[in-house]
Amino acid sequence: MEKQVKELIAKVLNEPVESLKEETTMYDTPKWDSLAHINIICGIEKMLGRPLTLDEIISNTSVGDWVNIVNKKIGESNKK
Amino acid sequence: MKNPFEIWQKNLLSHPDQTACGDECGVLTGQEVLTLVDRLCVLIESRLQGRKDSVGIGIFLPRDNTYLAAMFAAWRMGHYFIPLNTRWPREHLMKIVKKADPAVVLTLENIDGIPSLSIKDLAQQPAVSETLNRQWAKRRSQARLAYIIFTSGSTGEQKGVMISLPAFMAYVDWAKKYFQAHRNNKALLITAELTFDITLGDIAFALAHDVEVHLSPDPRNLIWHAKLIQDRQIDTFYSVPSTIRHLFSWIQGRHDVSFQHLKLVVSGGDAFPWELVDLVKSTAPQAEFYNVYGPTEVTINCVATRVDDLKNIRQKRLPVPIGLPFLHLQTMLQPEHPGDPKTGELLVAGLQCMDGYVGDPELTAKAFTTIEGQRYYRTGDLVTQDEQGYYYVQGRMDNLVKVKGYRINPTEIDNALADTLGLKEVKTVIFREDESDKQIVSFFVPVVQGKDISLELENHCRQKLPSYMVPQVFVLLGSLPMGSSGKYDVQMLRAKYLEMLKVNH
Repeated sequence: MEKQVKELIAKVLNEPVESLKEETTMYDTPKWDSLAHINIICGIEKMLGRPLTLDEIISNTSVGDWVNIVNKKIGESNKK
Repeated sequence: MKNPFEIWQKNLLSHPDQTACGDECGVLTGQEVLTLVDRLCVLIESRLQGRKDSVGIGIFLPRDNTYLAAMFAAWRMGHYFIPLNTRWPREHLMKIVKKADPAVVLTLENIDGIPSLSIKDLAQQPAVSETLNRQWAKRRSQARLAYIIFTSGSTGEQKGVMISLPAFMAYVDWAKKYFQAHRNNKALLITAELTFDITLGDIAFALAHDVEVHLSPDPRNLIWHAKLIQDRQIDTFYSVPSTIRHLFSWIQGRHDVSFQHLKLVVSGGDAFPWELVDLVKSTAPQAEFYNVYGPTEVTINCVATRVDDLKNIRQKRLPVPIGLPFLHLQTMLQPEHPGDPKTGELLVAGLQCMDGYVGDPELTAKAFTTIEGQRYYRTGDLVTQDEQGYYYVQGRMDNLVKVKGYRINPTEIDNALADTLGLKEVKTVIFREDESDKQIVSFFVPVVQGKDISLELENHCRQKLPSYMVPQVFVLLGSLPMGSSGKYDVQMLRAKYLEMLKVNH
């Protein structure tokens, strides 16, 4: 899923996918503003097909964080 | 005159075991935060030993409870503070520190090139002695400045705005009277950068109404704002319109977050359409909504209105006014043209005006004008005033651009477009790279994502504005870029458009 998550974030930020690293965060990316952050959350929820809880979202501020949460959630639904 | 620390101390000591402030990690009681202030004061004193005058204390700390305590520590000692941001690039920090010339800068670690004082040994500081208490009380009674806040001017150079204690306390008094209906509010959330004066507006409200002060960890992370509003039962929220819009829109689609505790929403720092009022009312129906306006140079705000009172103005399809001037200030409008006495630059006089720009008497002199013996601060904002006295911002004086011989104000175009059906946001920019061929470009975001409503916008403009003011180009965007202050980033819009032109050529 890493590729899809990176593509989604790149699209929201209007940046080439190659420029995004795991450690890219909203704090060091000027285009990752409050609205971009919300658009990323909405995009991820759409990708997963269900909403995330506030606690699941709150500490995700980097590309790596989002990749991890998506992998975790997909792993959980596969187990079910 | 009371010092802000004295008011805060009195408030907190009346309920020392209750929550006084909080950050993402947790909350502190009144007693705990006063102890933190004590320790900070003793630590600062250890560096400044023997210094009698009131000096600047730079605060270069993470955004947490200690940052807040450091502001009050400076006030307690009869000093003033200079808020700094740990996310600033080093070059910017050095520039600000050089201009403000603080006697000490509170930091986590020592930093070369600035008079840094690490707070890592804070817990080991001894108790405050009676001698120190007396010394600080004496200095408090003679202190002049409350804080210096840096703001970028139209030239891009940073200006250090010196705000006095009487100016800040006049604002606290205003907040006490104006928001009297909210005297029983319990908790507010700071969402702005701590280097912006919206934060000082929050602190003034906290002093006026004895409310808890909570800090959201990052101004851009709206999810934290939402969580803290819910978990800490925040009832008072003051922010820029873009933050309010994005936060409240997002909340509307969620079932696990509620803003039921919000009683007061205050918007400031930028214009907004009536739709924002509807959005706030539908998300937090019990909240009262206010609009406030003011340059940093006039201590946070100088004009305000309760938006709920403006039904007749809305019915007339006028834009949202910034409000009526504070009663203890004098405002006037200096007309641009003798033929149009109702439009001109807003001038403000009175106790809340800044002492000046630090280290720049020339710039300070230029910022003021004297009319009939009264010294007024020139806001640089072009305003109109209606027959009831409400002011409406028409844009910046320095944004007026002559196109084909006409003076055009891009904000006036945004105001005219604001009630177009299907429009979410708009920002108009006049491109003057080529003087012979200036272009008016309106960047817009539709309500329905991706829907091109350029034609509707153009028709709407043609009905409301003279032809020379109708934009030549409408650019559909997914969102409008925001700067760190929460205002539209015009530089980024310019760059975006020039990039588009290159691609098309």
